Amino acid sequence: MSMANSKSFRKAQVGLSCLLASALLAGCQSMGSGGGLSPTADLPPPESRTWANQSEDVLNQRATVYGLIRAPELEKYLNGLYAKIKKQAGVPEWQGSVYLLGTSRLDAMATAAGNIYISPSWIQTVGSEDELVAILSHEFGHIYLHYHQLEEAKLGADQTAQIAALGLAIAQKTAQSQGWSNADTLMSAYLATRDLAVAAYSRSQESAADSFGLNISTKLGYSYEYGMKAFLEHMLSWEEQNEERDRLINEQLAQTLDGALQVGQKKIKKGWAYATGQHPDTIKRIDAMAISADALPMSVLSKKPVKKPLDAALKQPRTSQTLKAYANASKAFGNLQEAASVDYAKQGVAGPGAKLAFNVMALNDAVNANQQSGKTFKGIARSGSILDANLASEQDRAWIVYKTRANQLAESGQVAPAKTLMDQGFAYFRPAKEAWPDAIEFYGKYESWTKAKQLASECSSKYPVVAQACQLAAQTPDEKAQVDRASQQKANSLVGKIFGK
Amino acid sequence: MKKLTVALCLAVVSIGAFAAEQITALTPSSRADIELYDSPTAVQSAKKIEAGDLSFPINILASQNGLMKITVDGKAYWVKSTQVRVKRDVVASCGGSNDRAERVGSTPGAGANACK
Repeated sequence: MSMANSKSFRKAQVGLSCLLASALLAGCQSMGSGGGLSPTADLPPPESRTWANQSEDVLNQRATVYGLIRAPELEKYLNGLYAKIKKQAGVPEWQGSVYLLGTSRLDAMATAAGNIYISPSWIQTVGSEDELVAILSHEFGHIYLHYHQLEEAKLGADQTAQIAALGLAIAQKTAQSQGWSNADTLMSAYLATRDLAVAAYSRSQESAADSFGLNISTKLGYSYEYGMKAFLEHMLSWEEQNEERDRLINEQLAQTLDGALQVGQKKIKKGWAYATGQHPDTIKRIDAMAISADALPMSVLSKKPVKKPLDAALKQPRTSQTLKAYANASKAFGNLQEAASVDYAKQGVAGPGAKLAFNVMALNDAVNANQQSGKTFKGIARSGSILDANLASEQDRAWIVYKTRANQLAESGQVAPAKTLMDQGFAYFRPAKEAWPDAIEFYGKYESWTKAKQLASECSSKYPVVAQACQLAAQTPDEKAQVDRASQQKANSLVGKIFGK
Repeated sequence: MKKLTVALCLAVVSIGAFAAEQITALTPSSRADIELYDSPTAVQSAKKIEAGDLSFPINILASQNGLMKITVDGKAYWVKSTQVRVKRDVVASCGGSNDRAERVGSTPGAGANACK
C-alpha cells in the first residue's frame, strides 16, 4: 500500500469513526429518560447541508421497484401534515414533499432531497392522524438530524478502501491471483468493520428519529398512545407476522436436503443481517418510547385520537378508488400462481389504477404466471400491451414498465422495437441513477458490450453509489463466467486456509 | 430446485387473518408489575399485579381516557395503555417478485426490512 493510499484509507476510517462517535454522543443534551431527546425539549439547531435535487429524487423513486402511486388529493392531505411538522421544527421553508410508494409492504423512508415516501399500506393500517404524524415526524427526524451524511462518508471510505486494496495487490503482484490474497483479507476486514459501524450509526439514528418524532408530535398536540406507540406497535406486529411467514417457508424447505441447506444458509445470513441491522430491535424502541412518555402528564397521555381529517381524506372519491385498486393489485401480487390473481389484478386496473405501474405490473405478472401454467384468459389483451397504459401517462410512467416491456419484446425476437422503447425510456429516466444498471445490461445484450462498457464508465463517474452495479451489468457472459470461476477459487482457497488444507 | 422455488412462491401469500388487538406484554419490558383500576376515571388503583401472574395475550375489551379494559381472574379492570404493549392489525403483504427492501440513498425504511 502506498503512503498516499495508506493516508487516505486512514482518513476515510476516521470519517466513519467520527460519524459513529457523534451518533453515540448525540442527544447528550436534552436527554429524555428513554435515552434520547425529551418530548418537551427544544430541538437542537439543524446542521447546514447541501440539498439533493428534489425532482431528480422523485424520478429516481419512479425508477425504483414499482415506482410511485399517484393520488393527488391524498398527497395534498399528507403534505399539509408535513408542512405542520416542518413549521413546528422551525424550518417551514425547507424543501421536500410526501409521495406514495408502489409497494404492498409497510414502508416509509426519507431522502436527502427532503422527500418522504410512504406506502399506501401504512395509510390503510394507521387508525388515526396521530399515527400518520408520528410516522412523518420520525422520517422528518432523519432529514432534520442529517442522516444522509452517512451515505457520503460510506462512499468515500469504500472508494479509499478499494484503492488501498488494489495498491496492495499490485505491490504484491497478486492482482491476477486466483487464490485468497492479502488484498482480499484487507477488503473483507474493511467491509465487515464498515457494516458493523454503519449499523451502529443507523441504529442510533433510528432511536434519535423516534425521540424526534415523539417530541414534534407531542408539541403538535397529538396523542402518544395513538401516535408513536401505535406506529411502533404496528411495525412490531408486521415484523412478527413475517417471522411467522418465514418460519412456515423454512418448514416447507427443510423437508428436502437441498432445502435444509438453504435454510442453514438463510440462518447464517439472518444472523449477519441481525448484527448489521440498521433498525434497533423494535421492542427496545417501544420500551425507550414508553420510558420517555412516562414524563408526560396524564392529560397528554389520555388524549383522544384525531380521526376525522384522515377519514375525510380516505373517503375522497378518487383516493378511495385508487386505494381500492391498489389493494386488489396487492392481493394479486400475493397470490400470483393462482387463477384468482388475474381477477384481483383486473380490478386493480380499474379507474385510476389503470395507469399505475404497481397495478399494471400486477396484471402483467398474474397473466404471465398463469399463462405459463397453461391457463388462458378471455377478454385480456396480450400481456405486453397491458403495460402501455402506464407508458402513455407522463406522470405515472415507471422505469420497471419500460424495462419489462423492452425485454419482453426483445425476448420474443422484436429487437428493433425493443431498442426503440429502451431508447425512449432511458432518455426519460437518464437522470435517475437506479435506471442505469438495467439499461446497461439491456444494451449489452441487444446492442453491443462496447456501448454497455461506455455507459458503465459514464455511470461510475456520475453516480458513484451505483457504480459497482453498473460495472457488473456491463460484464459480457464470458467475463461473468470468469468472475464466477475466480470467486469460486477464492472461496475454495479461503476454505483451505481456514481448515489448513 | 424448481419444486422448492414453486413451494417458496406459494408460501409467499399475503397474511389475511387479522386477529383482534391484544396486550402481549408489559412495557417497558423491564416493568415488574402493573396497577389495575376499577374504572377509567378512577384516580387510585384498586390493586397491583406482578407481570408473572398475568397470562398473555390478554384481550382488550374497551379503551377510554388512556386506559384499556381487560379481565383478570374473571373480574374487569382497567390498565394504563402506556404500560402495555399491544399487538395490532396490519394491512400489508410481502408480494411482488421485483419488490426489494433496499433503496440507494434513503433511510433504512420504517417496516421495509420485515420481508427479507
